[in-house]
Amino acid sequence: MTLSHDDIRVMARAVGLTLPDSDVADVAARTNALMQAVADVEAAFGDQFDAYEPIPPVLPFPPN
Amino acid sequence: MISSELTALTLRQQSDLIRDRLLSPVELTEAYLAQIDALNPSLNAYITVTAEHAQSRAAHAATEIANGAYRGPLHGVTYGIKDQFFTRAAPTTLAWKQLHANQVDTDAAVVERLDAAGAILIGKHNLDQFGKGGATSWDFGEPRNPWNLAHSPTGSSQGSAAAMAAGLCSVAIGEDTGGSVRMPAAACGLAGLRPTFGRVSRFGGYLYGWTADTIGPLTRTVEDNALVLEVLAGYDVRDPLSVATPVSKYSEMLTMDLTGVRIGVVTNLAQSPALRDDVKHAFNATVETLRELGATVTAVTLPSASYAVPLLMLSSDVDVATQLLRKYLREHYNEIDYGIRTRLAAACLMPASAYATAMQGRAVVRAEVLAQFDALDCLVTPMTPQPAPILGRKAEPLSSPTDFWEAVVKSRIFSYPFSLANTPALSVLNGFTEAEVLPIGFQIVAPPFREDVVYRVGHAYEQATSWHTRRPTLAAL
Repeated sequence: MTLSHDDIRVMARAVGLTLPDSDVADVAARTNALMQAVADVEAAFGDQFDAYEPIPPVLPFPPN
Repeated sequence: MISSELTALTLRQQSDLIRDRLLSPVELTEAYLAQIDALNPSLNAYITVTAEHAQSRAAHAATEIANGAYRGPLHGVTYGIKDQFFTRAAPTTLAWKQLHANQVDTDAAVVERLDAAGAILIGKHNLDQFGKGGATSWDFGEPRNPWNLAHSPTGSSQGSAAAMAAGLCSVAIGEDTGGSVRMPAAACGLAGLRPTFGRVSRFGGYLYGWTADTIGPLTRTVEDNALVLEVLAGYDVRDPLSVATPVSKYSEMLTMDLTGVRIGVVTNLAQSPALRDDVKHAFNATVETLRELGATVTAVTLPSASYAVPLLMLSSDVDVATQLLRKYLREHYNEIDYGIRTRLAAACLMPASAYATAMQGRAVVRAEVLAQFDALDCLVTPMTPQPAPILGRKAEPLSSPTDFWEAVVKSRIFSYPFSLANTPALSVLNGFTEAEVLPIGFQIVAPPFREDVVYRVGHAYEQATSWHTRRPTLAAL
């Protein structure tokens, strides 16, 4: 799914941002590209995901 | 010794002269201030020069040393720091003119540590606005590469790398999320370290990429880098992700012998079609040198390396953008650089499910990287596929998802996997291009908290070669 320019304007408004027309195309391209890239990774990893929790990447040392 | 000769010395050389009372911190500081006066207008490396502060600190250091109160190898040498860290001595601007008077009443932990070691803050370095790569305009002038003024020092620690390469400080302190110390270090012919996440306190700065931001030195040599990390590293209760592990005397663990060291060459990066021929040749020659030094070299692959780029970029951009949305983005959107604001705006729109997926994917890739160290002491890769880019870069063209892999991933695939894995990674100079006479770098990666390994391998390589002894032709600036 590709987000349209209008989608991007609405999403921006939802977080309190008003994008100038000059920026919408670039923001849309970046948003779509990143979301597609992460979806591609998710598809490539498949079931591997089940073995990992989305924890912050802090190394497993004992508490300080 | 004339000013330009003093500033061309390594930190270790300056330090030895100061320790032996053959060089005064006052003389060294004045040499740097003169060099900054002469070169900064061409380089735009500094946003603020703390001349009076530095002169006062230098006089104090000279008195201490004369009285026998020598503090150690950093006593009396100068440092500059990326202008995203808090300093009482100067405002913290994030390279954004709206923050030109942003005076914070605290010092970053790294500033405290350097000051306690007797080092002298000489100024604050230029950067991509907000410390995010991809700026297209510069409120304090566009930084230039001292090796070739038509080229960039590369972001985001641009000013730090330019200042260090041009001899405008004894050591520069940068910040590395995805590669922002290592890539500028490679572009400017320096040693640049991304330490293990948790090794150096993040307290006291705009470090909003809270799962990936690290602080590391850029220096002329690997030995200098090791000396500085000994001061920067250590647990800090004010950084909740700081880790209480022992800090080694890295500079005393350096050797020329790599016998028994098991090195993995990451072949899918070393043979990437994105590599320019001269970068590839320099890397292949480097591997041969490491083998001649006694290392055992094995070919390995990191099949998920390219995935590290979108996973880390999405998650760390969201972390940063979330903070900046609240502080600046809503109220000042149009006053922010185009490349930075559109990158941040896109990050603000990411669904929570995409963020969680990226964080989960990071754990998968991290496990793949860390598994390499079951049988190896370190990995080596080229640092960047190309030398420093030409100035005047525009925002990365992203008209389709395909562009993302072409325009964004190819330039970052060498650094992001190791940022994501939270391993220490060191960029080391390993040659120059013939056409533009620009530096080339390679990268050494070790298991978490084994900075001693990357320093050992990097130092041995440096001692077997002479690239690090070259200096840019500053008279031409």
